[in-house]
Amino acid sequence: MADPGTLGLIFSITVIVGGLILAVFVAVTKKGVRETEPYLCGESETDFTDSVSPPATEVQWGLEKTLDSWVRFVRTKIHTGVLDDWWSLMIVWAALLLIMSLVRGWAWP
Amino acid sequence: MIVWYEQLLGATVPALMAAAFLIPIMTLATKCARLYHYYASAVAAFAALSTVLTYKYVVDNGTLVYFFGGWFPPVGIIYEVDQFSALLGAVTGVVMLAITVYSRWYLGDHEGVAWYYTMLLGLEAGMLGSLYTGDAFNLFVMLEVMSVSAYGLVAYHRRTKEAVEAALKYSLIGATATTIYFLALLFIYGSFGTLNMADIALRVSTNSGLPIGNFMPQNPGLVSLGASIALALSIWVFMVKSAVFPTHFWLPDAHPAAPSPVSAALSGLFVNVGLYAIARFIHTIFGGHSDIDATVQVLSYSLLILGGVSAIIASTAMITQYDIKRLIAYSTVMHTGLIASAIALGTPEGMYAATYHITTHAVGKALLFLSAGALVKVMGSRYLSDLSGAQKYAPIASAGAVVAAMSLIGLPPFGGFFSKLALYKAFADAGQVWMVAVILVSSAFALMAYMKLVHTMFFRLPKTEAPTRITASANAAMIALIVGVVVLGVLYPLINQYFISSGASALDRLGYISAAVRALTSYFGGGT
Repeated sequence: MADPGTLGLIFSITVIVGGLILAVFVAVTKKGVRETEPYLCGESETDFTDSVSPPATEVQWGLEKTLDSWVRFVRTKIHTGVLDDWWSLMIVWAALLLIMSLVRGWAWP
Repeated sequence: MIVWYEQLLGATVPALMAAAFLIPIMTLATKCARLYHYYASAVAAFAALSTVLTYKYVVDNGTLVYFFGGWFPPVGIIYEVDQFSALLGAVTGVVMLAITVYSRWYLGDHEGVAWYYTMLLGLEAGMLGSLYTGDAFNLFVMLEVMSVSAYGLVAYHRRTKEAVEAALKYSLIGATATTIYFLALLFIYGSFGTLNMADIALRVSTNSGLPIGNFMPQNPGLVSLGASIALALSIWVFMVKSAVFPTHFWLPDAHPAAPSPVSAALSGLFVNVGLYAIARFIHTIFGGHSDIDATVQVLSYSLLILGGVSAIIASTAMITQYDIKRLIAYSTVMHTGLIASAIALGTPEGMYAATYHITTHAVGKALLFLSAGALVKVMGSRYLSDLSGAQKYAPIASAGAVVAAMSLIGLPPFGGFFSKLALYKAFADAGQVWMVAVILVSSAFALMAYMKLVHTMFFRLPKTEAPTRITASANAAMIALIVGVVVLGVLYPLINQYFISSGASALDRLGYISAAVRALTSYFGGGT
């Protein structure tokens, strides 16, 4: 039985070869580029008018909204941009490391 | 008898430093920027060739030891290069060559070209010296060489407030870290009476040193206490250098503020030195069945947890970024966290995964920063919203950004997929299933962040005409790295063994010690 790496490689190559065949098929059968105006239903959807597909930023916004409290914590409590705040976290970690090493080092023979 | 490969190994770092210091002298004779571009590229090509040849020699013949100035260890400084350090050295040499070639287009005729290359070659010398050295004090010197070069390069755009602030913060934190490493060296010397890495490893495991220069104090209790303190201080310093939470704060400011080729070197290569030093200290020097094994285990477990925290926090920060360089910088924190966790496992699978991921991350991240630098220069802005339709004006850079992002996310068939697969397997085999979840969650966040970039480049219409064109040399550098990312994945069955043996050599404490002893015996005419 093949290992996961080899299986992954075989899968990747299959997908790539399939993709290439599809691309060649599309290129051969394509008659030309059809340009259409976006259907706006009479409303002002400015975000959609300057893009050729639905914007991924909408999904992005949804995810950020879901993670809002966690993202806010990361931005306001950890990544404040203030050197003093950084030092406090770094020094606490250094002190913890030292205490752990002292306890273990002293306890050893 | 000193043979060519030893001379090549010994000459590489001093030659790089000499070449760097020659540039300020050259400015007295000529201000021609093109000359400095060609000069730096030639020096980087020499370093790439030298590091690759060194790696090949080490793979074929085993660990290479070189005594500087003929001074034997533990008195003199030695370079001791096993497969682990040789592989990282070769990756550093090759990627730095691509970065130097790319720099020619990026910098053009900028007034500070000479100083830029002085510091860039200094950075490469420091990184290679740190990877190759077999002496803990020489590691301090080389860490300083690469760090000082990095501070200067971050402040290269010295007329922007952002660059000056980032460089100041970075230098304050970095200088504190290296000073603390010096303090750790005092504890090491006080405990073992030596600073030679193989000698320390020998004394840690057997309470006796190399055949010459045995200054070992005879108080095992104090020795283990001193060594524990030294190890704790060293790990903190190396975490700062490799930007693992909670010592990573400088990176998201410093890397984006630097010129893009420098960002590529710092994010792709500089952090590797910290990761390498962590592995060298907790596994090769202080690992195994030694008196301070308990301390090593506590520190390793802390590192495992913090690496996971690092990945989650950095990937969360990635999805909120609208500055392309800052987004990529947070990605570096995420990946160094994952690698640090794999190193902390202390298993052959963990070290294999760490070594593989260090390599795929180095090539992928360098490609991503070079591509981002090209996009930023062509489109005139670092904000994602201003990169609309960038693929029309910079197709190769856009393709490079997509390939690098896909590799870093962990999509097949690129190198990142296989190295992340190795990480999953290593964590699962070690019973740390929660780290598998961490990789999945952080990769999903990274996917969201990178999709913003891909969508903007390929699915939005360009807002403005882009006046800047990318030259053939810069495109060639990016294409070479694209090929590297693909090769690291597609040739996985063929190259896998090299990462396995390189990772295993970091755990081979006895092999590291015996190589130094063998070289010493040979030096005094005892044969090999």
